[in-house]
Amino acid sequence: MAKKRFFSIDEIDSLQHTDRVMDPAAYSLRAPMAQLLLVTRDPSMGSGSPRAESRGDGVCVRATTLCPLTWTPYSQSVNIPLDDERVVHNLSAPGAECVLAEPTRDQLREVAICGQRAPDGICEADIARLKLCKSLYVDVPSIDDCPVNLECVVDHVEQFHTHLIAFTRVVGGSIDGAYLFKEREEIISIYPTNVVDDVLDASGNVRRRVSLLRDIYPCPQFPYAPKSGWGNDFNKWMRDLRDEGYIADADYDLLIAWRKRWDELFMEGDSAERAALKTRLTDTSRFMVQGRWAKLHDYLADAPMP
Amino acid sequence: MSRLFYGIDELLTQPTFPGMKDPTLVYYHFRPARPANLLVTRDPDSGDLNLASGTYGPLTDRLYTICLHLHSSPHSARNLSSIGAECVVPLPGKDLVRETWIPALPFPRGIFEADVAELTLLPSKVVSVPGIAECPVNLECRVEFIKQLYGRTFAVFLTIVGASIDEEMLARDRLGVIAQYPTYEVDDATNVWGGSNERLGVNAELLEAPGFPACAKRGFNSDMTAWLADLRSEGYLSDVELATLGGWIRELGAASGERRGELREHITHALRLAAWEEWDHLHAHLGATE
Repeated sequence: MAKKRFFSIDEIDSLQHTDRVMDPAAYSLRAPMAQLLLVTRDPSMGSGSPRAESRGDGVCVRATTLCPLTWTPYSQSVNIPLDDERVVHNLSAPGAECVLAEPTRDQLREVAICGQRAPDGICEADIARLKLCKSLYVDVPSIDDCPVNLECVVDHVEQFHTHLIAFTRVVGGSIDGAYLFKEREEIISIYPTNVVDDVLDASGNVRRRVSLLRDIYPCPQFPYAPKSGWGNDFNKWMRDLRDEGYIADADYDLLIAWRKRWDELFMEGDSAERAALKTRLTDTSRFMVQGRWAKLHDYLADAPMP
Repeated sequence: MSRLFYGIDELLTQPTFPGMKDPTLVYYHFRPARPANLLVTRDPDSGDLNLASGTYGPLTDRLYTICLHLHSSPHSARNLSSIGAECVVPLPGKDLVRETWIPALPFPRGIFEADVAELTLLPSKVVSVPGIAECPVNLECRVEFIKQLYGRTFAVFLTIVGASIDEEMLARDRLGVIAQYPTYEVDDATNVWGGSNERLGVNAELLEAPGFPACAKRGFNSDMTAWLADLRSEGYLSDVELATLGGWIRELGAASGERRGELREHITHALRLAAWEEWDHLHAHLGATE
């Protein structure tokens, strides 16, 4: 086993409380996370408002990361520092709208510019030379230069330590048609960029570093998993294995009987039968994910029906 | 090519086009890859350990907190349904793709997926559940907040109360670390049975974004007035130019009508020229409109 270094909560805290950038070890305890541009609009200056004098007035753009929540509906949270008063104001009420735009590897300067807070009334996208365009499902504009824009509505906000956590639900989205047919392997080398760390350059100035994925590794498939992949049950997987000849009818019957008996014994923590059955189900599951079908058959042939 | 818009109902049906090999291709263009995690919990009813796999996201840095999203049917959601519940979040490396997938398989409640995957338990220092020794990072966590979402999923906010890391990772450069872990859920390609084949990715490239003078010396989340002060202190702006720009910004707050539009144009143009390091044009702009 690799030698481990342990950090207590106080040590983790001290790694993070440095002046401009965190200690490298603090970044090693984190996953680089997708970087997006968050577009919001002051609700009092929305489209049609007398103060919406030009495209960017009242619009605010920030660099942010997101946190996945649900796939149906499609939702995620964005985390806003509480001292970012403009964005907190723009997103603080359920029903507020925003756009999450995905910049590419060629837009790092634009993101760095939007990583700063412009004076009230000035839109960061205009400074970054990012072209805004009309969204279809929300009043907040999208960023035309970004390949993908997610149009979102805030369903819930939660103040959590130093941040406002806005739970946003995607109501629509747009994609630059030039990216539509690109395969995943190419897409992930273009966007999203993942925030890795902040480092100091030779002059002591902070530079942000981002990463991109490249290689893709497929997870095991049937017979080492159900044909459906995700979202199925044990019995269906066993049926798949029986129907395709990986296990005999008698093996299938025994596994299903064990599963049924296991459920009956589940709350009987001190039961010797439960302990034995847990070992059998674990062993047989291990043989299945390893594809050791002959070993599985031999094991089941010697095992008792409950 | 023009921009294509999708309503969410259409997007969730996974729209496709003739000639696309995988019907999930368009849909996953809209879902950025997310870091994969393992999750060790203990069943409060039986005491059995559980190992699950999923994805997570960051919440706050200073206190280090993260958010899990747990569907109500896997066992881990039940195991983390109370404030203060303990868990370990191991971050798997690219050599653990198979082991990361095994906990996603539909084993009966109470069968410990780590035993099926032949993973080694790592005793924790702070919480009562173990980590996974083969994972380079193990985050020991307590549940601080739970929010039920749309009836079927729980957002679970975790505070990191301890962490362990392979010492070897502390000696690697950043690219060496991120090329090893964590893995990311990239997409679910369609398999020959019409089901899904989860695919994981790993970081392979490290890029550096522009810093000062394109943005403030302190980097992200700075105020642009701090950036302007940096530009002055390093000689990119003169005292007079900084005063001119500062005067416009102060005036903008109270301006309206045509003057407001004029000030917005002046300020935006000046900040744009500075951010793109077009210094001659910046000096000309500030001089001409002083």
